[in-house]
Amino acid sequence: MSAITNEMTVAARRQRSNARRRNVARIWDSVATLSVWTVAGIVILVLGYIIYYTISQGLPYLHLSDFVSSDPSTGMAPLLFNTFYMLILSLVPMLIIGVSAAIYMVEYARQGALVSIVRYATETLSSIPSIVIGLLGFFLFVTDFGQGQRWGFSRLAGALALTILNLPWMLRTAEDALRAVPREFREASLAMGATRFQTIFRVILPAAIPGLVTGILIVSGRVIGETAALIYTAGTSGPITGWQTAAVVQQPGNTLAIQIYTLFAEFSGSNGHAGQVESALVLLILILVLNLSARFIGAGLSRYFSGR
Amino acid sequence: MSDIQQPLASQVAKSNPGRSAGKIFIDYLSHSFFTVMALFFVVILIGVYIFIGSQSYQTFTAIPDVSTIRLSFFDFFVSSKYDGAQNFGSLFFLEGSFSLIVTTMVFAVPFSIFLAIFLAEISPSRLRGPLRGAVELFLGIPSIIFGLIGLLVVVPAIRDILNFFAGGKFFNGFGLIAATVVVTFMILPTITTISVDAIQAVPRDLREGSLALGATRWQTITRTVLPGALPGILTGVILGIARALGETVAVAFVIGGAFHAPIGLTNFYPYIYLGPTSVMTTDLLFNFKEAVPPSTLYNTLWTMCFVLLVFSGILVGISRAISSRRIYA
Repeated sequence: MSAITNEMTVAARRQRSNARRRNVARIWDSVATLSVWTVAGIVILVLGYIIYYTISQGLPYLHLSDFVSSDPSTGMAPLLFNTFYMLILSLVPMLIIGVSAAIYMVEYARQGALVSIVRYATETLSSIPSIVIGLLGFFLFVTDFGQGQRWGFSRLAGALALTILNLPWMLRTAEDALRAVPREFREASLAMGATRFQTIFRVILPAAIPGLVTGILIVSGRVIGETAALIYTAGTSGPITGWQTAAVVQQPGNTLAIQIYTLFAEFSGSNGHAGQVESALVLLILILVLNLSARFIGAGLSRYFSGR
Repeated sequence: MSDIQQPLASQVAKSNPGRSAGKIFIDYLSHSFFTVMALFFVVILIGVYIFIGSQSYQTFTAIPDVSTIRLSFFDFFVSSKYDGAQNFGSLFFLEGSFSLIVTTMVFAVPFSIFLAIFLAEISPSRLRGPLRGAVELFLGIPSIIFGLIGLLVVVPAIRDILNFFAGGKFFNGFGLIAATVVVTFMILPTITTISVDAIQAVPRDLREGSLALGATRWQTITRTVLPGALPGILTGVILGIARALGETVAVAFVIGGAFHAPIGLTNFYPYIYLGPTSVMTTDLLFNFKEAVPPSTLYNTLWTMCFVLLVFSGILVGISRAISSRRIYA
């Protein structure tokens, strides 16, 4: 008799404790869900604040005349020119090397030692701190292996440092673009009797253009905002003879991003404030435009190319 | 193409008039060009190690003369006596970087895992796309803008908070705390995007099985989904550490750049120093302009460069080893 009641109480107790455990689990579930919502909210608020703060601080100092003036403190014409000039200078070798290597990795390479070595090299390259690439650029391009001058602080040295820094990203985005091309395209082209070379240049690359354009725009955003790699390669000053000596690659070229750092390093307190927040605003707008257009132009192009 | 016997160009041309010898020659040429371009990445990496390595050992081998002194390993890596002329003990730079990574990770890892869980599991599906886009936009904001906002917003805020608790004007706000705040928000999107991909890669059946057994959503997430996504999340954390280690300008704006260790080493009681400090990358950034080639400062900066290279190489090795693991086969 007592054994039976004992058993019953044990069962009842177990049931009750199970119910309690389930309630605790349910409460935990709500608490956790609430805190996850809170964290997500905080992060989105911070992102919004960064954009809001940059715009609200920079807007009062933003004058249209600054875009064409080359005044050393507020003029942005040379900065904008250098930013885009060095972007183009670095994109040319980056595209040739990055897209060719991506073609090798996607179209030719099989799983093997070579592929994993290239992949390891790419990942390691992409993790090297940008200041290290900057000092390497100083060593190789600005000075002649540390002794004497090669090109001095110059747009060319800056562009080459940017190329080394962003090559891994170019390779990655180009690889993604090529991999997105359906396998049937290759098979159809090869079955028609086209050579590999013809298949790549007449079928695969045209089909990969939307992805490639997206990749180029994203990499451009990274290039435009880069600072640490440029301080000791492109230099922190404008061209000596005025920026109108435009295409001379051996002239120093400070960009919008470098200008923000230079004003921080050379002026303490509020002296550089106007130029800083103005440059930051223009830089942020450029990068937002590049990133958003990467999303929409990529989608638009692929719709256009697929005929829909 | 190595394991397939290629027919001779002349044979193919005879059997297939569409493929002339010239076209096949172009084929071979382009193949080798693409291969060389892929190998170029390996060449660049080896070049980086050779050029920086060739500069870095001179700290320990330089022949002492007017402008240069020779340092022992102990003088450089274990000592914290630094004046930039005779003493170059750099342990406190290493400690600065290490403490920045630790303090950053304490905040960034839970924050980004929570955010990743939100993006992958909890958020309503209508919010998912725009939120993911917002996080990727975050990833694109350059470090110089984070640095500037750190300088204009975070540093004054931390100055006021610290001075309020200290009851006087002891702090200027620069230092490890400000750097932690800035770098935390910089690496958050890195860890988050990789973690979201890892969480979404966990098979749907496992979630359904767990829910069908009566587990709550949070139990499913913590006991089934997160263990399965662990290798991916850890890869993200390692890459976040690499980014925190290599971050330069954003840290330079808020760290202050004084030759001080955040904890111990250069400090007396109470051993924790909340004022301006330095990390390895800001040491390179701030001091390289004063380094004229035949000098000890110049040599030690290259050694520091090499240390950074080695650390980031190790981190990539770890992340590769982890990311190939699978929890649910």
